[in-house]
Amino acid sequence: MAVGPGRVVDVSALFAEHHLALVRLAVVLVDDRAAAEDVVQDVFADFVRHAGRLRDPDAALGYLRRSTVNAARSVLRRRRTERQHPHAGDTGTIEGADASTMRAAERDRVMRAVRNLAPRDQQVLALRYWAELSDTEIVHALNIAPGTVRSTISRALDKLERILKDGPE
Amino acid sequence: MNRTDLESLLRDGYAERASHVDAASLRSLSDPTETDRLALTRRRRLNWWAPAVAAAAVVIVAAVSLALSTDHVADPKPAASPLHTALTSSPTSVISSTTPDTTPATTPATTPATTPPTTPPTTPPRPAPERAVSLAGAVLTIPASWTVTGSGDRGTEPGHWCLSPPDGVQNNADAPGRCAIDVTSLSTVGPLSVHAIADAPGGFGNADLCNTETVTPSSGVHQFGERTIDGRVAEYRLSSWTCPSHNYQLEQYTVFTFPAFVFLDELPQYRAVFENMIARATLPRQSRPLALNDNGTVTAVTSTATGYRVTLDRAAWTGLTHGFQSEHVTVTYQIPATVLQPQTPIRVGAVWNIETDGDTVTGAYPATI
Repeated sequence: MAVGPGRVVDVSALFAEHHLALVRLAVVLVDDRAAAEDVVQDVFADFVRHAGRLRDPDAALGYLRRSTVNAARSVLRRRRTERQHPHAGDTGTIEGADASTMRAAERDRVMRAVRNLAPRDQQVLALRYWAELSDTEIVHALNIAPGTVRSTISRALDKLERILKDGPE
Repeated sequence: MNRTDLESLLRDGYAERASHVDAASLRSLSDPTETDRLALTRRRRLNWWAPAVAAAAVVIVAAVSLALSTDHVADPKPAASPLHTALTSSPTSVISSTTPDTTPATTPATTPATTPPTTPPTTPPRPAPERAVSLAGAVLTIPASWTVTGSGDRGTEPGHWCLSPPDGVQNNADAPGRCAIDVTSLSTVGPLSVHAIADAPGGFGNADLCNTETVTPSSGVHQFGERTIDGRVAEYRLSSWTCPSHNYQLEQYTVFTFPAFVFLDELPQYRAVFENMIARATLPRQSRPLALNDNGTVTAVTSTATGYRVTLDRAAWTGLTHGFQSEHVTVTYQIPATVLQPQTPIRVGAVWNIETDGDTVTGAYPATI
């Protein structure tokens, strides 16, 4: 339990309630379960240190979500650089993909294409199409300009369509 | 596949990916209130052994450098000798000239040992030893005692460096892990360059300053315009942020052509070091003509054979002061018609965002800044 200026944040309760959802958010962002768990563990570890500064306990989930997105972005940045020297045997497959149906195959092709988008594009798509966040929530989560959420999504979808049609740039 | 199908497949794909994670399958973690980075799993520690060794090497090199630099420039008796000399040779004039309120001019010259002054010695301060570091081709001069590593997350990433004083970043209570000076090579980051520059006002300049979503920091951008670093054009911005418990003053230079860099100082107490570093920096020569990303209000549009020639009055999105401009800079881009959406004509007065690969415009979008 962390004590802020006159307010109390129950970190253990937050952990119990939101840990799984945040790991899932991290998984769809970084597409790596171990990395996702690391991300969220770091987020909570940092949160414990910083929670004393949190004025409004109701803001905790938003703070944790934003921290998760930021930490996932760091993972993607590192990975993007690593991809310039891809490891042999990295087939780009998605763990657990069910390729037995045409739709599953198409879904997997889309998700592989997503991995070729810039982190910001991946984030905005995940927040919209998995977390189903509103424009305002995405603005807060990504700290981007109000009014650019929809254009950013549209732009990301344009790029995704181009990748699906022509292959990665 | 139409847009609706694509959106549906995205939802299915994310749901499928997330479905592999359930509470039972997560590795067990200790109570977060007892969790520390040192308690991370062995696998994760192994992932970080190389950066840790590198950081240790940097510290050792810095320490050796400091020792050598100190040996080279320091007086043989740096601490005691100047004070002693001042007090015994001309105590009255020296002391009274600098501390008239606390040390009377009548202080006997013969009793310095029994009435030691509480003020610092009056010998001129020696310049701090410096050293040059090369980061992605940028040669930067910093105090010899400073470390080039990561006290925060960004500093451990390729293309990101955290420059910090030896005793750590002050104001740490408000900004744990924050760098005193943050250097990013957008060219090292590579494919992210365009987005990183687009983020520069937000991702680097305004990020998480108050550390809580519900608190809106009040901000004032004092300056926004162009400067030069080693002859290369850099976007410059200076802004202040007032949070409930602390304040920031950000100074940021973004060299937005290849090879591209962002230099950021968030804490005023390191401003002198930062400005000295900027003033004396040498950068790799510009290799491509265009800014990788730009925003501005359209002031002129003319049709060309292949598209449009668009003139922008550059503007910044600063989080709260949208479209801020203090120093008007006009830039012109040749936008191929092929990158434009047919239903979004470019009109004078509208704000547009331009993306380039450094040589040609690759994207142009209406924006709200």
